[in-house]
Amino acid sequence: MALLSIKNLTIEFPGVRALDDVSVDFHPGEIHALLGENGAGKSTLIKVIAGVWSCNQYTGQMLIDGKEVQFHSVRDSSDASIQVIYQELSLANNLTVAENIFLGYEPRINGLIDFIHMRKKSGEVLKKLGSSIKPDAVVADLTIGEQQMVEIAKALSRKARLLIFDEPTAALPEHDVERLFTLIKSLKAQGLGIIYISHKLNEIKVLADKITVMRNGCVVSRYDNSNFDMAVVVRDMIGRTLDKVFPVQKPCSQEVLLKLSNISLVRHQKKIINDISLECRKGEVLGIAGLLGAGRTALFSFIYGVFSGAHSGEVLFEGKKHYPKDPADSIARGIVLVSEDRKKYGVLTTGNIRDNMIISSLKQFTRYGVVNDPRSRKECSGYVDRIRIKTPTLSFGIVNLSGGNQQKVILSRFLMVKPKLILLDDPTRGIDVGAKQEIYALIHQLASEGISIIVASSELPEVIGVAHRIVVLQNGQIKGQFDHGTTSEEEVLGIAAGVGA
Amino acid sequence: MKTRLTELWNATNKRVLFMFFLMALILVVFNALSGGFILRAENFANLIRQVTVVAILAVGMTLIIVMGHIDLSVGSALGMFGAVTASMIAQLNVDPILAVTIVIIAGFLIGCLHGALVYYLNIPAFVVTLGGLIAYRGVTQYVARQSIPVRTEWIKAIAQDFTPDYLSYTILTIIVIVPVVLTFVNRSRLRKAELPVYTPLWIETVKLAVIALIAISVIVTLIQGGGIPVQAIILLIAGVIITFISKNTPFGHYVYAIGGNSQAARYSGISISKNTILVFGLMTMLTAICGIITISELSAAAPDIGDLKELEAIAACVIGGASLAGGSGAIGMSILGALIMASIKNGMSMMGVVAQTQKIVLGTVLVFAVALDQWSRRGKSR
Repeated sequence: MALLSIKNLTIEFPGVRALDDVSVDFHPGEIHALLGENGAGKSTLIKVIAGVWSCNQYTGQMLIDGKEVQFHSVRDSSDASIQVIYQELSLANNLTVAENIFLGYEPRINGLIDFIHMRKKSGEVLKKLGSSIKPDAVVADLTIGEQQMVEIAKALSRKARLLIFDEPTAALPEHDVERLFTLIKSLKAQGLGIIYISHKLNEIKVLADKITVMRNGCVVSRYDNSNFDMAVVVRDMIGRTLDKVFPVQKPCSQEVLLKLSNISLVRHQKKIINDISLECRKGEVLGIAGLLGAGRTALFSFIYGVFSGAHSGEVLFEGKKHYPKDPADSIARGIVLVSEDRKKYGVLTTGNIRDNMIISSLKQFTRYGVVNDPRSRKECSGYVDRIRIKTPTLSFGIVNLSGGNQQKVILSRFLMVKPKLILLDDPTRGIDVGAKQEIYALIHQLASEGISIIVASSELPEVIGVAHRIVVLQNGQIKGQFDHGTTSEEEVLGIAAGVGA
Repeated sequence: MKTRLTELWNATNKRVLFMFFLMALILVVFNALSGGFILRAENFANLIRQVTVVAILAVGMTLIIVMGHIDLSVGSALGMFGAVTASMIAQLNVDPILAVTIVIIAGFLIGCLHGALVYYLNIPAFVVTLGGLIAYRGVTQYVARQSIPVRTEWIKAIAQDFTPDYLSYTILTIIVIVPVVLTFVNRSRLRKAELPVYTPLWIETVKLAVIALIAISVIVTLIQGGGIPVQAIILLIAGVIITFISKNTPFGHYVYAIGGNSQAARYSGISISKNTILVFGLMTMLTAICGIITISELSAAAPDIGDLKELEAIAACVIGGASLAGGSGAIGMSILGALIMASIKNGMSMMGVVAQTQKIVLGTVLVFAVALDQWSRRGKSR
């Protein structure tokens, strides 16, 4: 008997049919993977199951243990033992870890909140997850990876028969990913049903018992672990075959664009970057491989001018001394940063696609103090086509786009300023296979036009595959340097994790 | 024919339509209740006079709210500027034109000070302008501790006189013709750039015809009753200029961006400091202008002028759909919001409702309007 049964689910929003007659069954003691490109409908399906979209907004049925259920709110689904860990984190930043874990379900003693019980229980859950996060830590002070851990702890602390993971490993360091898998497998053994959404196909291969592939709001195929072939699955997802993932590289020039000499960065008395020297040449794709906490984001924010701390060392840009001041100055010089946390630092939530795209390059479109409408629209349409952004019109609100498409819009914004150096921090986080390839091709095209790109990522195959040169960052220091094609994922991972000499 | 109508319906901005409908409803209902006094030409002019100051304040307040801030000092500042102007002219024998210029520039600078305190010292705008509210009221009450009469003719003319008929007709012609010209210019620009023109010509024609109709009926009625009040011209100019700025200049884009997500705006290279200072400078400058209009209305500066005006301005913006969380709001809508409140007030006055009851009604209307707005937005965003 299916734990959760979806029958003929259809939901529409202005301009788009997000789910079209979708039927899926989820069983207990089974890891069921949901695959599809961005915008295929996976997140929407999860939101329906979770009660974010109430039963009044869709047609079709949801059955739990064979009986029809109607969720009017998230509380209903949570009470029905369905818990979700979202891709876009939903924690209260100003509260502590313990308070977040028990948000809405605070343990009571004599009618008042039992803080001691809360701290104890949250400490237990975190320990079980193998995390060293303290229950009293304020969420706003944690990194994305740690916040995600809190989300998982939160879901596990409620009664759960069905656990839904929406891209859980996007920001987790490698060793945490291992621990998470072990955890998920043990939960499966305990009889929980697991729905797992991820773009990392190698994870799916390891974890999934069943696979359902969606495209454009419909279910296109279903597989068992015994009979799926990655290539076929990818073709189902994107509707076309994928040739080589990483494009062939063109050689870059020898002219040095950016030179960092003996850079150290200190914040809150902690040395985040310790005496780093590196160079990036014109037209080069430089990859910075490193695990979470190695200092990639700090390094980027320093170069861009948003680092809040002390620094020492020298930066030369185009041969001249450069003091990273603020984003406006960096953009004027031709340095741009596409941040890893698009929700916080990227998306202008009340704007539409066009507003979000042109905001950094308004001067280009302004004549006599007035912003030129037709020209800006043309540029934006150009980027929508070039990077294949899925949207009905340019005036569509950006919050209605899927995460990956939002990322593409932000990327366009920074391409519009015609940069010389692009800092990409985890650029394909939450982006599907088809779009990833488009981005790699784009990176190479930009490099061949003479633009330098520094890509930081904890997704090692990506960094190794796309860069001319790879630098491995471990704990604030450069511990390895390789040219393209001279290293392997295991070797880089070993260095990044600090294993061996 | 049916599909044409559905097309037209889909192309209209439902909010604007609703606001106009509401205004029309208010005017008609009160007209009936008061025995036909509302829709008279003389009353139209009164209505316009009553709404001008709040509307101009709402124009500036819209940008402030869109950026995610608030300005509570506006009412007291208005009083202060009015009192200082009157005092300069009557007691210090300053030339009126010079006095007005000084006060308007001072308004801009004081506003910039607000903005600087908000940005550089990280003090919430609520607190900075609350301090202003208290302090400037003190200044007003001191300077105007005994009411200062205003005798300058042209200042009095602002709020008490009408524009000459030939000028009114010229303005009417401009209001009717300029949108038509702009529409055609815009369409040809889009066509030249080979971009799709979304709205079919006949729908645009309908919109232009409606605008022309409303403008003609309002202005002709006003002219019958004596003419367009001079202060309304100020409102018109201020409204048009600032709406233009908010939609078509980088500054306008940046205000909305900062209000939507100030971190993201900063990372996109926008100068938060410059834009914050400018927005507040603009607001207080408009406030100074309103101060002068107010002393013109009363032909004097009294210690309590401008009292509570900031709340009326905020209410106008909110009724017009601006979100106090920042990032959304439109100047035209805020002016409509001010008009709706003013027409309700005007109607109640004509019916003989006392001021106390009027306040009760207006407070209720405000909450009701926002509730309606929130209800209509449900399920629209993620």
